Amino acid sequence: MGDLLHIPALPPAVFILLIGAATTVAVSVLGNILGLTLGIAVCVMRLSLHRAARIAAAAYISFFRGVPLLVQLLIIYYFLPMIGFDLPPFFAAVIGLGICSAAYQAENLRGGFLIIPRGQAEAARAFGYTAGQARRYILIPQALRAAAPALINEMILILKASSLVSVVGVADLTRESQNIVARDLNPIKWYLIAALIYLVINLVLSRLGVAAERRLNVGYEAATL
Amino acid sequence: MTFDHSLLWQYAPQLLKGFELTVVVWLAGSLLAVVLGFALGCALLSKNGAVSLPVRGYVEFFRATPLLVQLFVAYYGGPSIGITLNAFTVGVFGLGFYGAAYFAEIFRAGFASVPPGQIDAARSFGIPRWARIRHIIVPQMLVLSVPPGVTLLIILLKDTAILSIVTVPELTFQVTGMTIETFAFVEPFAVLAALYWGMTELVAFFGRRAEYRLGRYLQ
Amino acid sequence: MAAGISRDEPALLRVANVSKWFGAHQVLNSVSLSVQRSEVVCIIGPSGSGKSTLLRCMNFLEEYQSGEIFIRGKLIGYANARSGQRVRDSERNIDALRRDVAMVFQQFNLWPHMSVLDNVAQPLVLVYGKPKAEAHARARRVLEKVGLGDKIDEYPLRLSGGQQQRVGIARALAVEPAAILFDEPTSSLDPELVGEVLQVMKQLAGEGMTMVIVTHEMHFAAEVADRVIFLDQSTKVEEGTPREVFFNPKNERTRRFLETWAERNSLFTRNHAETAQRAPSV
Repeated sequence: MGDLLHIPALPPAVFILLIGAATTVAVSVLGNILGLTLGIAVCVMRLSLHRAARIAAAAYISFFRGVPLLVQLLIIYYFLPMIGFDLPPFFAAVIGLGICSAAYQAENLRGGFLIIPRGQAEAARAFGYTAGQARRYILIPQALRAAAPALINEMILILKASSLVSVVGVADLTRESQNIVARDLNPIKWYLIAALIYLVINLVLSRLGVAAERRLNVGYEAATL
Repeated sequence: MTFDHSLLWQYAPQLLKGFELTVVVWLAGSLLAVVLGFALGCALLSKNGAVSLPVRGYVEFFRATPLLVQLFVAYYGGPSIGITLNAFTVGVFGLGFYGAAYFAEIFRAGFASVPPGQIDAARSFGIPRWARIRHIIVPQMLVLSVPPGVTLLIILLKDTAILSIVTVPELTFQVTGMTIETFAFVEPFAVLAALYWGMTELVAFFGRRAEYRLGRYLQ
Repeated sequence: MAAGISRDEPALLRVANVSKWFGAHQVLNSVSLSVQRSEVVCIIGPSGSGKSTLLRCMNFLEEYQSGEIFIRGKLIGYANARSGQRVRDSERNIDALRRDVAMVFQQFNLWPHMSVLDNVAQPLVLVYGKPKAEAHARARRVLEKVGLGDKIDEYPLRLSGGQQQRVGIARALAVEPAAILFDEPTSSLDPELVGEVLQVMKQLAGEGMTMVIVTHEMHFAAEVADRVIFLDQSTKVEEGTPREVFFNPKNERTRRFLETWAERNSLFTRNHAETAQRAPSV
């Protein structure tokens, strides 16, 4: 590790890695948001009264949780241009991450929905709420709160999974570290540094997660006996 | 886009080899992960800091970093410290060490979930520690570990696809090779997705059966 | 109960000035207690008074900081090091002493992954090294005795609470202990299931088993105990025969506790006052 002291080479490379890290975070966050939005929709379908919707949602969840993310990303990467969507890799990656994550988030949310006491929806309907209103104002907020720990954990999982977008041409942390190794020829050092950066980001996310959970649970401790 | 069957028959041998290797790497890696993970899980419960802290460090590192980067360190970084491994070995050990970190947590949580009252009962009879562990704690801990354990095995199965990036000639590697050669896209990837979907659903099915059988006494 | 107690023998279980702290909080304050062979001692008191802790110290499931506890004359939990200081005894020695006293738990603590028969037989196999056939035979006999002969192949969680606790008692009986410690054995049971467990315990007492019972069942204590001990806020406040403690408490705190209990269980003051007059002299 003597070339850690080789100062001129160090700063620009680390800087590049940090930009890659920012790309990683960006693609992960956007993918998570897409995943959550889509996930809510899929979850609602999964719990729908219509059998066709339930089956379709179940199939979606099963497929996107059963096929490796790498394969999904490759499909989207090759497939989108074929049907005329020539998106930059970054956005293809966001879509890929989002579609995959939606399947997991739908399951997490389903767990959240199942915990809500039945009386809540009944009370809403008794007051004249439509099904849509009951869902939007009563059920979904509570499902989100109940599923929050799992959803926060999903963010960490997406961040780790995002390393695969390096394969489809996104200049994320992993790709940048590969580029540096190609130039600088010190694989262990640079890949370990990349790993460390991932680790730090994940630790920060974990802390944020714990804090968010605590905040969300205010007012709920009294509810449990 | 037409679906050209002949391509699939043409490449069937490679695809089959890739499939076979996927299964082999998955089983070997999973075995390593379970065995090593069990040892680490026990170590995590040790009251001796010198034992539990390094293991905790290991677990945190392997759980907070992407598998792909870990594989790069091993495959590309190995030679520079004198360890040149072939892709297959990197694949098995990469999956194994990665999976072990997750199994360690699963087993540790399993141990902690055994109701303390039952251990009290065993102690009250003077049942010695090793007998408590063997007859009371481990049987229940294993049953509690099956659901998350099966989930993890499925994850490891899917992660074998990542091994293609470090040139392990498993299924995804073969299919991407096929795509490059034939410029066909739909057929290979459709088969690829279908195969993984089938495999994971199969494992999930047997997992649910195992859960049911083992968990029956828990009502 | 009364019949077999020999006051000339040394005490089977002896607690001598035991004190225990959880951190800064004292849970046992110099408590002393002595149990003869075939005696039934009931420990009563409000929650948090230390009753269960005291019981759990007796088989060293909990450690105690000062005082001594003797099982058949042997000190449990500690050994005197060569320097004269008291050090924690080896697990082996503690386990050996635990063989003399068995425990029945409030939460039953049966092992759910084993059948009822195995639950009862297993301590015999693991601790006493009995061959499986013999252990099973003894287990069957004991399960018959508590009325569960037809449930030997069932799994614990399929049984009612009362049945589970009777299995717990059978498990304790099977190892033929010198004494059985009961930690609020009926507190987790639905009211209609309490009776079947108390019935078994009454039978054991009648057969001369040495029993130390932490309980809230005052009727039971009045009827079955040879001695009652009232524990309040980590201290032994009163001790005596059931007649003495329930109907003539010397201490104001005992009186207050019994009154509060009686208010909630008004049957006691009305009915039991009469039956107690008619109770055989102890």
